[in-house]
Amino acid sequence: MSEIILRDICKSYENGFQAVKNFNLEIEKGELIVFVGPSGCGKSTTLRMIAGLEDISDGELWIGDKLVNYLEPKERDLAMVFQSYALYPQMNIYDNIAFSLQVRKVPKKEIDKRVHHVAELLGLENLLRQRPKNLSGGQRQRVAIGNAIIREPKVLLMDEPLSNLDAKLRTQMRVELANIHKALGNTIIYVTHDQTEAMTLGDRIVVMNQGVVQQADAPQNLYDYPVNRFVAGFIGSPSMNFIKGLVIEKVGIPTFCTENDGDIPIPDFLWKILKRQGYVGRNIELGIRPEHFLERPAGADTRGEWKMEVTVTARELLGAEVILHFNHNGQDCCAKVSGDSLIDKGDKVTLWIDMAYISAFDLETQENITLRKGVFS
Amino acid sequence: MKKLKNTGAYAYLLPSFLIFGIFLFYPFFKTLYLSLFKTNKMGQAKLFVGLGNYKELLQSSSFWNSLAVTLIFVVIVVAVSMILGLTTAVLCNKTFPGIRFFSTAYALPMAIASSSAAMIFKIMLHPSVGIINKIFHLDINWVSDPKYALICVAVLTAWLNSGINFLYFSAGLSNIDETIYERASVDGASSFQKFYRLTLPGLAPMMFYTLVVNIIQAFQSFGQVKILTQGGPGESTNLIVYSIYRDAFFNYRFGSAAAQSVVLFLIVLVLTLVMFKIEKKGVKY
Repeated sequence: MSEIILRDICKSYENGFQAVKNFNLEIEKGELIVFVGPSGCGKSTTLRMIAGLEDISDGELWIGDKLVNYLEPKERDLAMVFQSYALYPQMNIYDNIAFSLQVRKVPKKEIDKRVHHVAELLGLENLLRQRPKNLSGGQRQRVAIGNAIIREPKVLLMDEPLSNLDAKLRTQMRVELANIHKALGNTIIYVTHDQTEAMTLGDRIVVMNQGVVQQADAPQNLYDYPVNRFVAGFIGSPSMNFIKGLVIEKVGIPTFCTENDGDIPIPDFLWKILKRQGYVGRNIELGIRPEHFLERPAGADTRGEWKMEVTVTARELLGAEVILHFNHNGQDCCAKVSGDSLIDKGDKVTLWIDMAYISAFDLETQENITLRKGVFS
Repeated sequence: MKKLKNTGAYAYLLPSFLIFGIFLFYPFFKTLYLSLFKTNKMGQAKLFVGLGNYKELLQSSSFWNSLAVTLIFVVIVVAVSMILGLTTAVLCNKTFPGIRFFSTAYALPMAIASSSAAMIFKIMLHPSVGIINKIFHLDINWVSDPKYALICVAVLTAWLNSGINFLYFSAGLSNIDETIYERASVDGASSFQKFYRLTLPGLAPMMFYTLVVNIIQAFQSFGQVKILTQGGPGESTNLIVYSIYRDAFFNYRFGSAAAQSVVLFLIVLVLTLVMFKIEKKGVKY
């Protein structure tokens, strides 16, 4: 049975603004769900509604087998880690971790045992007598997590818990969080705007935009089969490149006409899909991931190849990889190639595209055409 | 060159030194000086008596009475005005319709002169036409009964002081991070636990400051006594400041009045020092 069920959850404010629209999701026990999206997309609001810190305007929220819409936060049996950590400044670390047990009048001995257990798990034993202001960002983060897990709640809510840390610490804490989740096995709902965090942590990811759930799926599926242009652009770093053009049949050859780069033959599998759905003679957008630009042809391949003449405007060396930036029809694009590539800034080069991984998007609905039901053949 | 620079600096300081000198330092030292003399009716030092004035004070039952009365008064005023200020500040720490009206109302006593407030209270407390007796169907001669006079003056003073306390505590409350209350809600704390474990410790620094200011302010209350009771009935509301005033300007015993002023000064000084000592140990920021 599902641990948490959100049924048509809505949040609207008095001024008529709808922050969350018809949010539907079932979360399994022990799952780590990540809500991801740009700021203002309603992910934090949804989390706060689950926590009980915001009223639910419409819809039903079930935790376990109880309807909890009208329950106080403390009656919902969940714990939350806040972005600002929200440590109690006047209490030492011991009391900060123990607070949720102390207010529930758990016997002192039991509290002591559990605090030390949690402190050991998080490496905080030497800091228990310190005050929050004396701790570093990473340590405060750990205290916040310690407070959340000590009660062993059904559900753990995390609101951008890593966004106040520096890059190195963030990566490290990400791994630790994954380990903690594995060790404790409780259900976690994790909110972030960082798609890398989402991809690495989540069992399932819910991508949101403007209060609407775009797609909820496993990380790999999100990356490989984004349902629309927004998800395709949001997941993956650097993000997907989009190229506009017209689909036509030129002297018997299926062709994708772009403004400046001339004609590109459309591979068979894509042509079938486009033809069946009546996109011939219409403008669409092709989506190409940066790593699907190749420095040399992919080899003899029946799916067809597309090459582009581009002028590299910037070169970013990331170590094992190089990001090449170029401009295409006024749109900034980038390609990810191997780190030993000799292409430099200002070079005029030809890039090939691995057409097997290409996606096509409807210009109006923004839907991924290549994914429509019954299209795969 | 360096000397010239310093001269400039002193020149800038001169106006404030002048004002402080005339209105603070000169009266202060003059009081110290006068407390060692018997004076004539014009307040001029005539006969050096050393610590004679102080000796007389320590033997005077009237002085001990006014010390005791002052102490009781200060305790009531500080306790009531702090509780009033804190309660109103906590009540106004949420947004609700009409909050501006309420916060103005709670801060208002700050703007009322103590003597005009005393005039209003005098009418309200009037035994035959006063509203207090009318509402509660009582027949108490509030300000003329030694049992009630001090409490009346103290409650009036507490209400007057609660306005500024409301302001202090409101400022203190707005300094507390909102999210710790959200975390506490999720952690399962009740409203009382939140208040006791988060709000009070968070207010501690402000609370200490308010306490010091309140104590000093309470010791110096004068106007309300002058209007409401004139130290009476008997000597039941003869606060030390009022007693100083009476000794100096009715009895023309400036020497004794000066000595009492010095004693008052010492009491407030010692209290403040003690509180700062305690603060270093007890109040955590």
